[in-house]
Amino acid sequence: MSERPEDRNEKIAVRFQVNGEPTELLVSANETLLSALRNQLGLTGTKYGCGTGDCCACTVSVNGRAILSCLSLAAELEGENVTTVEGLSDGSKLNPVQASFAELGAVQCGFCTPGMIMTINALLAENPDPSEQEVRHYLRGNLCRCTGYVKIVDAALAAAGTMEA
Amino acid sequence: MSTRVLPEFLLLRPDTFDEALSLVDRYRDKAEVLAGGTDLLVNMKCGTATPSIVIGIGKVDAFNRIEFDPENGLAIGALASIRALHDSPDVARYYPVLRDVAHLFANVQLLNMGTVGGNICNASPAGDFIPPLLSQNAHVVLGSASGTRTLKLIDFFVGPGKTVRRPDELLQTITLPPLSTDYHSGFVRITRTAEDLAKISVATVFSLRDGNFHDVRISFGAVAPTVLRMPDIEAFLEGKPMDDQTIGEATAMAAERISPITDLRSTSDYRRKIAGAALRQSILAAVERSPAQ
Repeated sequence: MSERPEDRNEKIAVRFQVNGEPTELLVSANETLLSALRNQLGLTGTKYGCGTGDCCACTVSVNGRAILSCLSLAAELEGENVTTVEGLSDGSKLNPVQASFAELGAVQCGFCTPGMIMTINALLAENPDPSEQEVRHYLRGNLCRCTGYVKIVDAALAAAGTMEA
Repeated sequence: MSTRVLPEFLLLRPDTFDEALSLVDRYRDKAEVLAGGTDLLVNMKCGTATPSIVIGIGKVDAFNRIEFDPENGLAIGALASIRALHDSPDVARYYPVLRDVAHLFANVQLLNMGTVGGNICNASPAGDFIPPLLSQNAHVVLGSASGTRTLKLIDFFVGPGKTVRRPDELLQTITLPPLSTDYHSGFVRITRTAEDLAKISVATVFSLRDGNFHDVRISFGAVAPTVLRMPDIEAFLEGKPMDDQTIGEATAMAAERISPITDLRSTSDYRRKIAGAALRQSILAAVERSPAQ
């Protein structure tokens, strides 16, 4: 562990899983997981919305739990298992939440969509058969500025019936 | 796009709690402690926190569990996530008001990231967990390289963002005494939107003996520089019947005993006006909830 203040620009090696792939990156102390995903790994599905934890557009999964990649330091992810929206489909076969969004048109401009899909995916992994109220409560942090919430909630409920156990 | 970037800092990543204690001892005021990151990293992006050194303790495998036993009560590790509190069957059964707060607290992402210890150490007068913990007579255990000390939670807070935690100390555990299952507890938080911070919050804990109030503990958030207990109102209610008249007289006392400020969430005037109503709601919420089984 380096402790000299002049070392603050020193890069930190971090090894973790990204969408099932063992990944090793050199990151700065102040690099967020969001920045590492987008700028180092080219995984631009995860979006930068507000940067301060108010919109949830940057939601990814770490060890199965939905978290905000804009408020996570990449250097603190050693050994963790990160899934982004790119990791959900099986080749060109969409996962049930993605398929449901496409079928029901739960997308307007699309910017909030990856965060919505990651959050719903985490919900359905914990609770395969949520009520509409449970979906709305779980999605409360994910903002859609096109205000298309009705179809998003419909898509989550439709996907619930089709998730693999 | 106004991209918010974290300024540069030196990140120290202790592997053990002892290593973390020796780092806070060495760097003291120069360093900020990073747990869940949902507050500190926002403040650093916005320029309101400018540490040159950040000590990341969120991944340290210590003080991250929630343990209950009937004799000693509940011990919440300071690094336990708010999600862990939310999901704990012991919390839901024996301290249901804490489960209520975790449910209201924030979206699931912040629940998964934020820690109970962080919410307390930030010492916001509007911190959601503080009123219910004060009403449960919580204590905090602080660790340092030279040992531990235990304080009443109410003595931990000095002002907005200020606590008696020394720069060489870390919060280890929050402890709650056992609460007899015939106690009632309720929490009310008045906000503009569900995701907003409290304009005012009230946590009430009491038991009812033959319909009379007993052992009442009332805590108000966001009405003074620190979260307040209300000893006058608690003493007033002791032994009085749980009816509209008593509750009305108690709520009339509330506005006199607070010193709210005007800020972006509300005005001092409005906070005084709703203090009594918030107290009434929290008492009624507590009465409605059947005591733990």
